[in-house]
Amino acid sequence: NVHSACRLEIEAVCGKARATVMHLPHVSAKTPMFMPVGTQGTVKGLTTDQLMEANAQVILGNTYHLALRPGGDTVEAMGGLHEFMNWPKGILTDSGGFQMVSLLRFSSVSEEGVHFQSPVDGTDMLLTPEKSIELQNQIGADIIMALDDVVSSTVTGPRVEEAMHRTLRWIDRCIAAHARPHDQNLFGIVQGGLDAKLRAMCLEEMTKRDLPGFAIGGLSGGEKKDTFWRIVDQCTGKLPTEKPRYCMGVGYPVDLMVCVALGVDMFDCVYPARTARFGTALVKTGLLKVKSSAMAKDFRPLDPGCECTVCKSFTRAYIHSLTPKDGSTGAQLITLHNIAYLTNLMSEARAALLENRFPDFIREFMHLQYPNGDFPAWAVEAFSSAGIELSSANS
Amino acid sequence: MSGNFHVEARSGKARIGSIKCSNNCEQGFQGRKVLDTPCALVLTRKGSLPNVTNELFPLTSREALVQISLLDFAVFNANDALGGAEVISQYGKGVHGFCSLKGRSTILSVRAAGSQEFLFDVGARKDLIVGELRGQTQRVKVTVDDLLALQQAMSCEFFEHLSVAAPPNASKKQHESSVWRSLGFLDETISRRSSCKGQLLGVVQGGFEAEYRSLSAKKTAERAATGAIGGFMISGFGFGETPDQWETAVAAAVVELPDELPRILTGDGSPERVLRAIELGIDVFDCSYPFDVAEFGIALALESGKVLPGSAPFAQQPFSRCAYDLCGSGQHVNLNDGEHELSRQQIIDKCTCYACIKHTRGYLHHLLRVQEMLAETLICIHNLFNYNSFLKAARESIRAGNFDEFRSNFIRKRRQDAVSQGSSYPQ
Ligand SMILES: [Zn+2]
Ligand SMILES: [Zn+2]
Repeated sequence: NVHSACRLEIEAVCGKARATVMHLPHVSAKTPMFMPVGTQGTVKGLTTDQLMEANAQVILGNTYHLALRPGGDTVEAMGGLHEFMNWPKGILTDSGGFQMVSLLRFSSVSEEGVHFQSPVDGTDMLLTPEKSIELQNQIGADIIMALDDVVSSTVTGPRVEEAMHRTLRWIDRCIAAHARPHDQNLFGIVQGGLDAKLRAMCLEEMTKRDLPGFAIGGLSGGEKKDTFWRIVDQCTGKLPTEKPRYCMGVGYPVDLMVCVALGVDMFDCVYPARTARFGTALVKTGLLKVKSSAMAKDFRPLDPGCECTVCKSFTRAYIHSLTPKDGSTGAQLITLHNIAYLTNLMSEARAALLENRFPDFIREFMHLQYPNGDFPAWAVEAFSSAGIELSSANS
Repeated sequence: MSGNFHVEARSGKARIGSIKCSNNCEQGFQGRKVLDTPCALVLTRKGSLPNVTNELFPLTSREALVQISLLDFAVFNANDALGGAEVISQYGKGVHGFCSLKGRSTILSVRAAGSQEFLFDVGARKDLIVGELRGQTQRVKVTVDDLLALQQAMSCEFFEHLSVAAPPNASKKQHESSVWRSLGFLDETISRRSSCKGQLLGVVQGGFEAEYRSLSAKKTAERAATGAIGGFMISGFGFGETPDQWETAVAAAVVELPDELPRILTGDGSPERVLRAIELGIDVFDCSYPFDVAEFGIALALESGKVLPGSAPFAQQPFSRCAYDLCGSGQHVNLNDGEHELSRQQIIDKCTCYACIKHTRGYLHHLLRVQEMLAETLICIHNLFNYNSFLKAARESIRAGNFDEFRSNFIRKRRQDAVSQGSSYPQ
């Protein structure tokens, strides 16, 4: 494939789920994988070595933020984002479009691109597919994303169809503008809202393009879980097996495992860092409210059995005692653990796939998350459609 | 006699000492189970360096004592009605285990460096002091028993007893009161500590008048004769005193203290002050300096005699705590300066700290601009490393017997740098 800097090696398959090695310019990433979000060239307060220790393989950069500061020219002059932030492994950048639509009140979309008001000086600005790709070429990530016409997943009607068609027109402009196909992989994004017909149309058209990988966009915006998994299932059913599949913005542990079972390879989410700032740790048994007074004399690590550096050194009681007046270190510690938790969850899923015991792994995972067996109905159905029956673990 | 401090070499009044590390502390640099003085007592918040989790602590180099703030543990978590003593004693592994400070020597301090805690105490009670919690209006009372319970639970290598500072321009009566009340706390602590482990530091107060400093030091030293004291804390600075007042007070105290015990000085720890303090015979100084400047995006470049490109005069920084201190020098890099945007240089040439090995000025400049937490983390790591290297150079000069020359060269370079950058440098 001339237009790909990505080679996917599929190592194990269980139903639709798969374990792969994704050979990218800076890393051979083992999937399924979770990618921490490093919006402005840093993952919230963590050093790059801490990210390595937490087994991050690919991290995200946000094109919109990096374009504002320090700017595409500066990142390029500093040798690209890898060198700028001294991160030797993989990087993925988004197109910038989603950030604008979600962050800025005064943005609108036309055939040309996304119009927005600069938050720096208030001037009118325009992000075209060509500009997005140019910026991402400057940043130099291993994986870059096409500019798509994003509509909230709760919007219905003709706007969804318009956005889907526009996304398809824009992908061709992105492909034409891409100056570094030899060392950067352009992923197309499947849109179509929650409408199965539109999704089908988008899938058919998008997969005609010989792109190195595909993303499922337009989800994780507050839609019903029941709809969410069916759309993911529809997409993974049609996306080419020999190429990576990326489900954007998913980070809750149960959602991640459902998507892995449905055949998704990669994920990103701000959730582990955001929830850490509210004092919540992700643990095998669900969520741990570290601020709760029950933690004041709890001398166990955040997640007993977790191998991360935080769990090896600190107790719940210590992290509980850290308040904002003590600086940011409490949030830093929980963020580090949460990222390690998600990357570790992914490598456990991967190991289970390689060892041909993936259904058992999922059952065990769900029983730890829901010790009373009160699984959400949508998850039961989603796993079942992937050939995994949750109830049989009780036998 | 405490026996855990030993003077090894002198240059004038300046001295090299070593502090032997206790059992729960395998500290020691390059395999030595001792800590060389003069050294810094680094500020922590809840047992963790500001902006640097203890997991990253080893990156800052090991040659320093760690200050544990009394107030951080007296009011453990404002939402629980629990004291740190209760939680940590139940945990049973001291402050080293609880805060992941294994291998470090700690001092339990009543007032943390650079803080306003327990600034002045207007009460007259003999068994407690009252202070204000950092950044809050809550008043906190701490008794001698509270302090001893905390020390018992935490097992710091050293601990300071409660004391009272005299306010600036205090009257004769206020000065005398601060001295005698502090001595009262000391006697109270000696008589009630029973099995409480750790070396007790006798606190010297007395404001900025030689007369009262001398009285406080003399009376505190008398208690050392019985072996009840393992060192001295010369306290009560940072209240806007002039350099002359400061020097008079420190000198008057030191001259009364026995030679064989370590002397710890409170204050902000700017390089000029530290060098003067060493010259007067101080062994350890608490410092918020490397962290204070990091907060403003300033990276230290203390060992370099050269003016570094891009160093704006310090006086232009919104930095007031050091106003009368000698901050006009060029031995720092202001990473906020736009000229670093495209710089692929490390903060200081040849610096081997983690931040310098890993990152460029351009990246740190970006992190500051977008107000990312990692900026302060990395700058703190560099600053502490640079500060410790500076102290190491000072120690080497004492060992070589040419500390005076080291100090005057340093001051001369700083003055030249300041003048060449158009900022003033006090005489
Ligand atoms: Zn952990
Ligand atoms: Zn450095």
